[in-house]
Amino acid sequence: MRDSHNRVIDHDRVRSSSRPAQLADRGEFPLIEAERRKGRSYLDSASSTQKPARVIDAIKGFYETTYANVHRGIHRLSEQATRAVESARRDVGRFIGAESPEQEVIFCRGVTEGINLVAHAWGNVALSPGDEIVLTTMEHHSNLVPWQLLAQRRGVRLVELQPDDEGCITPEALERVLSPRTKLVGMTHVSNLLGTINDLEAFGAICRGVGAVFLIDGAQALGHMPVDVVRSRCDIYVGSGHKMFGPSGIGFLYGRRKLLETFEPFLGGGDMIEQVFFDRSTYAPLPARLEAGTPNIEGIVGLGETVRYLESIGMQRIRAHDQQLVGLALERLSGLPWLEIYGPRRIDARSGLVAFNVEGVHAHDAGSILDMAGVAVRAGHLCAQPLLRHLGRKSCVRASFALYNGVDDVDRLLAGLDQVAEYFNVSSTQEVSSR
Amino acid sequence: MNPADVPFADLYRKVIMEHYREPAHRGKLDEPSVVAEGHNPLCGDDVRLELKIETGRVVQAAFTGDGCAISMASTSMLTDLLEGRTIEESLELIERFTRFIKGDRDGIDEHELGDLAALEGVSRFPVRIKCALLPFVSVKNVIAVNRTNGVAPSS
Repeated sequence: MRDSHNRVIDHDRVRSSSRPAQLADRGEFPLIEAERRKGRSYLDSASSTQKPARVIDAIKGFYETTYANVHRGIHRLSEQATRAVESARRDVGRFIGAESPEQEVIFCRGVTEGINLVAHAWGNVALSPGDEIVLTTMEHHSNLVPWQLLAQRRGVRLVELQPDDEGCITPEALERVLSPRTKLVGMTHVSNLLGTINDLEAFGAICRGVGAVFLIDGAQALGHMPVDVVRSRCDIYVGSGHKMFGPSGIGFLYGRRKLLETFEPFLGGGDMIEQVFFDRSTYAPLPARLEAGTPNIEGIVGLGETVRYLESIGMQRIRAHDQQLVGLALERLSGLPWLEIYGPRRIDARSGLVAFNVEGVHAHDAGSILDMAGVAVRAGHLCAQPLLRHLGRKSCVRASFALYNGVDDVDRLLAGLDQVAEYFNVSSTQEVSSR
Repeated sequence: MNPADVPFADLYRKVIMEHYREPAHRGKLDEPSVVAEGHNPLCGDDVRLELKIETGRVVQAAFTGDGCAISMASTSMLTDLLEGRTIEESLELIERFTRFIKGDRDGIDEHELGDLAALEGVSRFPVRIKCALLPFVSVKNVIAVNRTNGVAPSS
């Protein structure tokens, strides 16, 4: 394991201020600020992020001034609401570098629904028995279970793409598992447990070369680093609003236009049709064809405001901030001999999260003590059971950083871990065993 | 740091930590009459309890498993308390502790719960109640299944 992160952290910048500081201004995230005043740190943004006042206000304001149903009214409010929704679609498209946002951005509930949509609308028509779908060991259950269900429906084979010892997927490993029957490669942009950032450009080029659909779960990347679906040759990229400082219950599916046009409808109902007869219907063009029913209107408006907020800070700055914090956290956690840390040590290959186990202490016990020490972390299987099995573990603790976290939060995490070790009599001579 | 001063001292009381570090009855039985297996999908905890039952009475109990301090301690305590009890008495204990940990203490004398009473603090941590109840739910289920199948767990 290389400790190259030492070289990447800008220590002078860390020292130049007593709290370098969360990127977001104090008070910009009301709940973060309230927790901080109670001496508590929120380090569970990889589960769900807190919301900026700007987004909360935008949703409230929309309800108070603009709300009506969309795409159907002929009255003024409905037109305004429709404009707000379509404007948010362009905002989301711009945020991820889509070429034709008006057709390529489909609103859905989030990553889970987005992937299920693809497994039905594409998988049911494009796949034949014996075709293969490649998925990595580090996928969240939401990028595994929909494909397992499809495999049962269509007689499709799932092929596992494993990470190397450092927790990274290499292009060579991908090439080894590809076959003439590979129809789709599904991959998370960022592992929610290892923190690994997958090199989408390298994998996208390989997939394009063999004609396999390249599908990306963007849940852990959006709101933390720049995303460019065209440059990384993603055919499909799905995201969840609640993990990128936006509302829950809203997310999106980006699909390359030529591919989306081959999708059959997923859910049937209002808004997705052109003409309905008693026994048959014709369908609307994209994106409406894949958006049945009245959508989460205020959620879409909130998501649009969220990406404008993120753009106002700058995704490169946010990425640099996350990297600086996780680098500092890794450096200090690495000094604790009773900690087993997962994922790559090179912080250019790692997002702003770090998962670990305290030797001899179950993740839930560590999580409970950290909670009482004022640190909110995730503890459990993280919806990544296959990866934990691969690591020989059943659960772990995860601390995840975001733009509103600062060095004070790293301090509190370390202080909390000292209490875990003290209370459970963890000594550095014990063997690491959290099983 | 004095353990009594920290907020988690109530959750991780001394007797709980003792059961966790040095559990009673950890191991396997040669010929168990019933085997109860429990799994908590939330945290990946697994527990396997083995009971030797003779003429309707638990004569020996043992367990294996991986889990948090709360689930392992409660399993250790349960195996302690089951030995010597009839099936009916065991079900009664399970029912009483289940109410106790959920905060319903009506008519429950803490002394009859033995070491299990130390898990009182868990009541205030809703997500951890499942950890404490894992072995109880497992034993209750296996007794119910054996009865439905007509296999009297009293061989």
